[in-house]
Amino acid sequence: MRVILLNDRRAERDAMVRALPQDTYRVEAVADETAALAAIAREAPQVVVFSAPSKGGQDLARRLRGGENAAEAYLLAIVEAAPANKELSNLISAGVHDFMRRPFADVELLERVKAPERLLRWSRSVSKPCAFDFSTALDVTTLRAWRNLGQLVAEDLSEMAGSPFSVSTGYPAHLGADAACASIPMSLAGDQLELRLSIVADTPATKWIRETLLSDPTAQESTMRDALRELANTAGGSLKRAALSESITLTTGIPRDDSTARFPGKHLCWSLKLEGGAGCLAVVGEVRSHTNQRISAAQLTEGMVLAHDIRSEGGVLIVPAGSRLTATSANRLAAMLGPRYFLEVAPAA
Amino acid sequence: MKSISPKNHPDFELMDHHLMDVAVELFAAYDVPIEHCLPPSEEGLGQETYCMSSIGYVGNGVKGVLILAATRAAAEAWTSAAGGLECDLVDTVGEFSNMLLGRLKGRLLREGIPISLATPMTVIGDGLRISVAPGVSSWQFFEGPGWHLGTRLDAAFDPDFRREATPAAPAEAGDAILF
Amino acid sequence: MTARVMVIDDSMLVRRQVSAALKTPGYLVTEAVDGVDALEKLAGLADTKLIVCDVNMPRMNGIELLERLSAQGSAVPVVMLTTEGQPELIQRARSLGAKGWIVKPFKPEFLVATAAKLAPLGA
Repeated sequence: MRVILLNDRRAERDAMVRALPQDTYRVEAVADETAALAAIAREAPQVVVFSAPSKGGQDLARRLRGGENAAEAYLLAIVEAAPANKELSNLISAGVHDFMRRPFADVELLERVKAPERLLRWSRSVSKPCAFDFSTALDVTTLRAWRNLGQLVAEDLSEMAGSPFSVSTGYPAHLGADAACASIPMSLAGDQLELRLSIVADTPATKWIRETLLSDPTAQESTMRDALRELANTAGGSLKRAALSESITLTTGIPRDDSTARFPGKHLCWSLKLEGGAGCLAVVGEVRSHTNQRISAAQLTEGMVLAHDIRSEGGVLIVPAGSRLTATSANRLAAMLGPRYFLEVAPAA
Repeated sequence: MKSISPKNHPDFELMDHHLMDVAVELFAAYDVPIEHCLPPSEEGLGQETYCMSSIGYVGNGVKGVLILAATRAAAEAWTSAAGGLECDLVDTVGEFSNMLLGRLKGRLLREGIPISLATPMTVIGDGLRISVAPGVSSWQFFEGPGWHLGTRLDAAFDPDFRREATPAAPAEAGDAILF
Repeated sequence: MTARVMVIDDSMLVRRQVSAALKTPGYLVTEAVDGVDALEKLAGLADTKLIVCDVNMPRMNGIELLERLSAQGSAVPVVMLTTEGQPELIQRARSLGAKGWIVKPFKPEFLVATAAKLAPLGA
């Protein structure tokens, strides 16, 4: 993301440059308006952060936005600790999207500069013209965590099982449509993506689950299914933690019983064989897209995933984007926000 | 020159120790050798104090301020060392305090004390003085070629402050952390 | 002497694993399937000395349960046992009063050591 920082206070400007990670942001820092307009003309920025003078801030904002390449940029103004109310409303009327008061912490700047990406995903979902369309949807298949899913899951399941698995790619041919299957849904709500991780067990593996994991060879089918769901949960956790290392935060849902009779969409499969031929598990990763819904807070239900942050009027974060709602939180938000508050959510997973 | 001794506060001693290191490191990066020294007078920099820059910081259970005090000669020397740009001395002192606390931040993150920094506020004037801080506080002095520099690190710790075990990376399967 | 531990997880397998790990040294283990179930049971079990709690559960998740317990002024130590490893979530739990975080799959000896530290038998 290209960010232009306009600030005539050198120390503050340099601190701001250091606060923005270089691998994510291409920052051009300038000290005056002329240099800022030249920078905008050279290459369109996605974000412009500028120090608003106490008088004339809205005129500066208009001139910055007036540049040909800046019509769709996200404008963030830095104002003094106690700006006059009129000053803020003038800035907003002039097209400023957000503001920060001095002194501000480096983490606050980082959070504010991240905001446009979330806004973009939200605006796409409600079919408005994309005001600052600069990011592309995530291609999950490029994530290392996704490509190595079989190995990741095998390592964690080995921990659980106390014995290693041998991993190979491909779906085990002998697994029939009636094989025991559990899956866990995972969302990337802002990208309208759903991933589904499934664990399928052949008959010897279900025996192994009873004897080794449950220590009860006579365990009932429902108990064995519960254990298989926990294996799916563990697999989801493996993927989620690995994706975190690539700065992708997935939301995990609740694992459930599932059927092998469907594996639509793009999917990867691995076969995990237990030692000594004690059975075989399949790990299947599917990518699906969905369309987020825009609903009233009164319609929130368990399982929905928030596609954007919910903040109070003062800007305090109440619930972050990516949170999976429980009945408790859905009811609480409905009561707090009321039926006239609309949110973007991924469907219940 | 009063410091509220950090003798009984090992976490503060750690921070103070790192501050001494990063100060020497920062100036070395500008080819300016400095050495830790005793206060040049009973009053520290005393009447020689020309600029003071302060930056607030806050972490989990700790907050405070780093104050950089410089003589005029120091500020002029740093401006020259930084390339003699057309900026005033106030800017330079602010910038150096920024860089100092930024380096300290990196060190402290590795020690399990992540902090967020505010932006610097710098003042100039003759005979600047500042009040004693609440919490723990420590002055350090450094001598450069023909000038002196003072740093004061203030910190207020919550009673249940603990350094963090795994500051940044996601926890892995099997990890167990007690707070 | 024994001490009661409540394990809260929607997975029966995990509840069994925790029970097996803690019953061996002599803990008495009560199970709950989610935060709502746990609150109902805790109201009648004043001798609970430790809670081991999952994060992702239906109806009321582990973080929401921590909020409730904190609001009630509960002094029972809570250790989270979860597949989650996000530092922000760990920090959030810590700020709500959790005493520890264990990532599944867990090593039983870590769980036992944690229980021994937070809810020693015979105390």
